[in-house]
Formats: sequence, C-alpha cells, structure tokens
Amino acid sequence: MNSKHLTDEEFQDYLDERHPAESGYMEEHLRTCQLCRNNLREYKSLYAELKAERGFELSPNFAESVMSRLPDVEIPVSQTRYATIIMSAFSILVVISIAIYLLNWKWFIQTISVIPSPFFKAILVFGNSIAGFFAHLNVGINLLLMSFVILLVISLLDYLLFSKKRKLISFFQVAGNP
Amino acid sequence: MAETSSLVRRILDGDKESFRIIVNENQRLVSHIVFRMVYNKTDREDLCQEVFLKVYKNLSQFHFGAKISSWIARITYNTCLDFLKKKKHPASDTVSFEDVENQDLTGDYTSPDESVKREEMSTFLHREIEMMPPNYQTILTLYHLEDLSYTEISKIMQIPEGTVKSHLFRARKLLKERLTSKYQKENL
Repeated sequence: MNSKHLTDEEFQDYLDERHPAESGYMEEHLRTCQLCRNNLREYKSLYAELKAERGFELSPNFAESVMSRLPDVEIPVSQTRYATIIMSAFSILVVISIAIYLLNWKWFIQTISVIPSPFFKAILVFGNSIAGFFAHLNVGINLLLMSFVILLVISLLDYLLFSKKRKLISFFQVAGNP
Repeated sequence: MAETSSLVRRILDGDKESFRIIVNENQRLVSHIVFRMVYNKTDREDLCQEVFLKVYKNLSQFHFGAKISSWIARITYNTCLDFLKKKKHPASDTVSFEDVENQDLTGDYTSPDESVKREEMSTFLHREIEMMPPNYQTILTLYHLEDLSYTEISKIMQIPEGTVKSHLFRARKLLKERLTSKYQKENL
C-alpha cells in the first residue's frame, strides 16, 4: 500500500474522470485507506449537491413576457456577413491569379482549363488579364508592381475583414456587452 | 447545428415566433447564471428578460458555426457583470476568494436525523457557495449544472482555461474543507 494520501487534485480529477488510467491506482489505495475513503465520500457528497443545485424559478409566463417585448426591438440588418463573403471570394481570386502568373504554372492552368467550372474559368480569365497586363512591362517594374499588388491585397483583406470585425466587436460590447 | 442555423435564419427573416424556441431551450441556462451572479431576487427575472432581448437584437451577429447556448451564456455573463458594476454590488467589488477562505465557520451541524442532516448540508453548501465571488459561482454552475467543458467556460467568461481549472479546483477544495469541518464538529 502506498502510505501517501491522495491529494485534493487527485480526488477531483478522479471524480471528473480526467485521468482514467490512474483510477486503478486510486482504487487500490482507497481499499486500504480509511481517511482517503472518507475524503472521497465527502467529495462525492459535494459533487452530488453541486449537480442538484437549482437556480431560481422563472415565472411560468416568462417566455410570453419576452415574446411580448420583441416587437419593440428591431434586429439590425447585418450586411457585413455577405460583404465579407463576397470580398473574401474576390480576394482569394486575386491571390490565386497572381500566384498563377508569378509561378508560371502552365501545367496548373492546363489542368484547370479542363475542369468545366465557372469558378476556375473566372480564375483563368482574371489571371490571363493580369498576365496580359504585366506582359507589356519589363521584369524589374513587373516585380515591383507585383509586390505592390500583393501588399494592396493584404491591406484590402485586413481592412475589409478585420477592421469591420473590430468595429463589430466594439459595437457588440457597447450595445449588448455580450 | 444545422437546426440552430435554420432557426436563426427564420428569425432573421422575420419569423419572430421562432424566437420562442430559443427562449424555451435556454432559459434554464440563463436563469442559472443570473441566479449565481445576482442576489437581488426582484432583479433576476428582469435581467433574464434583458438577456433574451439582447440575444434577439444581436442575432444577426451570431456566427452560424458556433454553439448558440455558449453565445447566450456569454451574453448572460456580461449582462450580469454590467449590472453588478452599475449597482456597485459588493460581491463584484470587495469580496475576494481569499476573504471567503478566511471567514470563520458559523453554525453547527447537529441533527441526528439523516434526512434533516442532508437538507441541512444542502442549505449549508448553498450558503457557502453564495459567499463566493460571482465568477467562482458561475464556473461551478456552468461546470456542474450545465456540463460545459473548460474550453466552453473559458470562452463564455473570456478567461484562460487554466484560470477556469484553478478556480474550479479552489472552489471545490474550499467547499469540501468546509464540509469536512462541519462533519468533524458534528462528531465531537
């Protein structure tokens, strides 16, 4: 028998079933240790009480009262959800197009062009337009412009997705503080 | 999850009556949190109503992938915190866990009858829980009554998971020590 008594943490983990592998060792100890058995019994009583504890009773017509107050409240229309989806799709399109152009994935373009999907075709059209535009420029300016476009896309993404989200969070905290 | 999404969409599309389902399914959770954080009985029901009105007002901000009960629990918790701040409730300002730990035990536990003993133990524990700071009470409630995980509680209360775990451990350890102390008094 291990003479060391079980700790509060071990009792709680045991009852929370956090470390099932250790339960064998605990049960072994509990068989021979009266003090730890008493402690476990008290913890079990405590857990039972915590589980049985009830909140205050809401009035029977609580739901009705809430429903009767709803007409006074308007749900603000959230357009950001749709704007975010559209702008995310657009940004992904731009990034893919740039990647196609920069890496010159001819095999990738050939593979994509075989797939009859409007989305992939849109990527191709967009990628080809960008490629066509940059083809007129020399390589140095080309790279510089590419870097600029990438930075622009990242800034645009940050502004559209995260700045709105920040505003939403602050609105949320002020208005409802949920 | 899909059911929740379609329910929220229906409400956002103007079907207010569907909101009743959200109220019915979550009023127990809301009342448990409010009960643990707000002591004034007359304020409790008003606060519960306020929570659901906020839920309704902010429904368009609900992320469809999220669990609606956790979102509502977070609104409830923050609404209670705001309420306590406004009211300058002593429980939110001055009572710390250490204060509760250092309090002397009062009252004896002397009934020989088992059922009365159990009833008294229950009353005693409830009184001990009520003396704890609201955040400890809320963690106990969310964990034991609502069966929420550390992660869910951490998101609701916006505190690290480690804090949830340590608060829960300390609260239960203290309550168990109080129980032990009562048993020992009884056996003397």
